[in-house]
Amino acid sequence: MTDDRELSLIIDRWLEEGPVEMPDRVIDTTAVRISRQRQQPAWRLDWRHLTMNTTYKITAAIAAIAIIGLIGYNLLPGRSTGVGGPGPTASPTASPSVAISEVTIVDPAGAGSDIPAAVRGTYSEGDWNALPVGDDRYSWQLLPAGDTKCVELVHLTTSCIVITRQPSDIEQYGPAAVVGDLIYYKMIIHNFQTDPCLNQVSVWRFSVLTDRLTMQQLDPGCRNSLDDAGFLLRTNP
Amino acid sequence: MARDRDLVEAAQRGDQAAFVDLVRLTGDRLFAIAYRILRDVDRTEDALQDALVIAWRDLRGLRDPDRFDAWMNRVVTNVCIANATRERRRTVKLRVLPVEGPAGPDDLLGVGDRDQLERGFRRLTPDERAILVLHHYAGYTLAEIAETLGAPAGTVRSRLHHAHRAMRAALDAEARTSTVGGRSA
Repeated sequence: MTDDRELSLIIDRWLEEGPVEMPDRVIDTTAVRISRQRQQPAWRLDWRHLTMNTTYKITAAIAAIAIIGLIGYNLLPGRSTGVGGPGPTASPTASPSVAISEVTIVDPAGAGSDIPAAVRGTYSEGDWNALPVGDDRYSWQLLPAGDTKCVELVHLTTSCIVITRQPSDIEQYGPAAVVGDLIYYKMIIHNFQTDPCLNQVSVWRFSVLTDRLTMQQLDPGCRNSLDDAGFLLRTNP
Repeated sequence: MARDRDLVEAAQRGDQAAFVDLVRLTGDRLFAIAYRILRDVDRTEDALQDALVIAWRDLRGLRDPDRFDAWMNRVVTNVCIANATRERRRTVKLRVLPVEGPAGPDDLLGVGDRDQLERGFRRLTPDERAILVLHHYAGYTLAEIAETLGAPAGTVRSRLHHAHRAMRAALDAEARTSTVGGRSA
């Protein structure tokens, strides 16, 4: 039986064996790769640290649940005060040819992954806000927050998101729903300016590798989605 | 140290040459740690390159340039753990064949011991491998390992204990095999 001291000595000795010098080709390759890699701005990294805070996640999840509940409530068929005509439809300009389908909400955080908890509820897909842009599908939902100067923008997409340069304006992000084999991500941007020129933005791509959420800055990959958002905000106040 | 700090600050401002200089200064140590976690030179080079690119990308998030070394250790270790996790899924059914040959000059470690240590180590989870390497090779305390991995100190202690137990079991298995072999010879 190997005792503790002897075991430590053996492991120490065993780990001493093996290469200890980094080959020059690692430096050469790294130099080439970093010449093509932009550095993240410090605020972006601060925001990432902020998202690790459990309190923040819980608060964001609660807020998002409340908003989704509001959306779901407004989309309920036949919702009406019982006075006058039929209640407002969820899609004022909806085309009869476009069906609204409910999708399943997933909660990948349930297994202890790093991904923020998804919102429970239902989403609508393919409504009047859905815009095909490139190979990605976008769905925009606008939520007046009681103040027309302070609209909230909910961005639901399979791959690209748009964020402002003020981290405090971002309420929640994370996987929201699964439609077929597409995973939708959702975030809410407060203080979204109706003039797209006023939105200092950067665009990021989400991807999920096993249980980790990774982000890649795209500039200007999906920049046109801003114009879409601005157009929708202007034409659908 | 002041020179290192200057290099870190220059790299944070986007100076690629300064970052490459930092890599030259710290690369050997990082490579040695990464190799001992991954146990494969090619994968170590790939993982180290990935880690260095991530470090360059996120360097502006390092608030205290004097903490560069610890921060780099964290980045490299985490990339190695992710790499080992992926590899473990792919090679979970891989069987390590026993090594044949004469014992090395080190009388503490025979060929059989090395083989069993290698087997025992590969059975560990990537986290346990990293903890074992940081503790026994890099000389980290449990608190330092906990900070590096972003895990509670209690978790690190328990994983280190499990890793020791697994390595001990591997060595004892080798000892039993040798004894049986000796009797039958």
